Amino acid sequence: MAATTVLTNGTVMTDALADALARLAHGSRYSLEIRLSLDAADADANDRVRGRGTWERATRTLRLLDARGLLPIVTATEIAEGAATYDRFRALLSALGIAKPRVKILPVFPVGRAVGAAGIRLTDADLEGFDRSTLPCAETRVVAADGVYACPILAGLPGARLSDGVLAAALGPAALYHAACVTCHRTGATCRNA
Amino acid sequence: MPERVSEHRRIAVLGGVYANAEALAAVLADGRRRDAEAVFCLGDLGGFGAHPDRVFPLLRQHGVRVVRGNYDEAVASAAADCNCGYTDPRDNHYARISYAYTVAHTSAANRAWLATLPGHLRIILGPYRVLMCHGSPRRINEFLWESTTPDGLLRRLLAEHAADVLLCTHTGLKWRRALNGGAAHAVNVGAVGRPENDGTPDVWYALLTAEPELNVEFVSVAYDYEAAARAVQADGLPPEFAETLRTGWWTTCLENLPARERGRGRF
Repeated sequence: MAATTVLTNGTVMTDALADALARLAHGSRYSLEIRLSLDAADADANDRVRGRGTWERATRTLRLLDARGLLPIVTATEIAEGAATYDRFRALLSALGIAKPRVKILPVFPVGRAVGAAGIRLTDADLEGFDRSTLPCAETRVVAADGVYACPILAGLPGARLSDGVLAAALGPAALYHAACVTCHRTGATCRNA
Repeated sequence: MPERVSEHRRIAVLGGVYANAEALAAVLADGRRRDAEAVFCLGDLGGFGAHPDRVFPLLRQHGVRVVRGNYDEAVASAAADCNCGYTDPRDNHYARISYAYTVAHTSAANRAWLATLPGHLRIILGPYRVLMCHGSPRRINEFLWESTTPDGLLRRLLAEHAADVLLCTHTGLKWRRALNGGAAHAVNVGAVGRPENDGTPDVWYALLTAEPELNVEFVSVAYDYEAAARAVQADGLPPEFAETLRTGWWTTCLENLPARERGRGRF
């Protein structure tokens, strides 16, 4: 297994699946990272966005993964709980008995209905003298069901697809066409796990 | 002017001094005892420790050739931050404290010297073309972790930079990998300024010998870590820095560790 990061909402994890992931992780020479998305550190606020019972299932998943030494990373957006987002999620993980709490806070990306509201795109002037190699899409590739994308935020959007299976095409440059590209350009957001 | 390329058979290579003069002195003495013909440092002279300015005379006295690290680049220009490449708030909190201290305690003359350091060094070691850098050949603050760096990337970096052996640091954790059936190698030499996150206070450097096949030996060095820890405490740096020196467990700037490496530590 190559170095791999799995993104999940953690709502369908079973003991058997967690065991299988642990076998995979511990038998590989590379790291397996599992990022679990939450919208809030308390059940009510999280479930208002993600659906009733999702917080309970997700936190159970965190315990299952941690018990197998998989060190899950909780991912949330920076608006989830204001400026204290990071500390609140770390406190949640500690309260769950997780000894090595790992939290990744992402900026808010304008996707879905928010694209129209954002109404902005990168221009040639924005990119003049800008080192494009600092953008995550210079190196990151996302393998999805229908092809390879340069960006996990834009996976599934036809304009962001680099390849439907040809490796050489997957290595080509990504088009910076989406409003979400502005976020990476402005904030220095990274796909790295920390 | 063409790049000067020196030829050697046995060299000592260290990284991440982090203002730990006590550890650096012990490592340099150890390298001399083991007949290293030359000593190279892959950068980051400041950070964490209490004695940034005590590092420079040691390096000069021992004729150490130094590659510029992200810390050195930042300190030389009194940049806003260390450009360590951290993204986690907790990592950045401690990095800011450490960086401000280092800038305040590095003399103007030493900052000027840092500005003269090369970004890369090339030497010949037996039959091998060796490229030395801080993070990676393509980015000064790239973290080349053992558990996240694929063979393909290493082969590509070696090919693009016409080298057989790549030496780097920046992560603070040592590892090595033979490639192309032993014809090529990548070695992260780790750090001498803080321990290996393994529960012992010793620090590590690398001895590379062309026999003529490449022999890479990681050498553990015991030093007066208590003196280094006391100095950290005396100067008001975070107690977590001293704790790491004493216990060998990383307490700060560890949120960026991949799962595999993080799993090996206590915190």
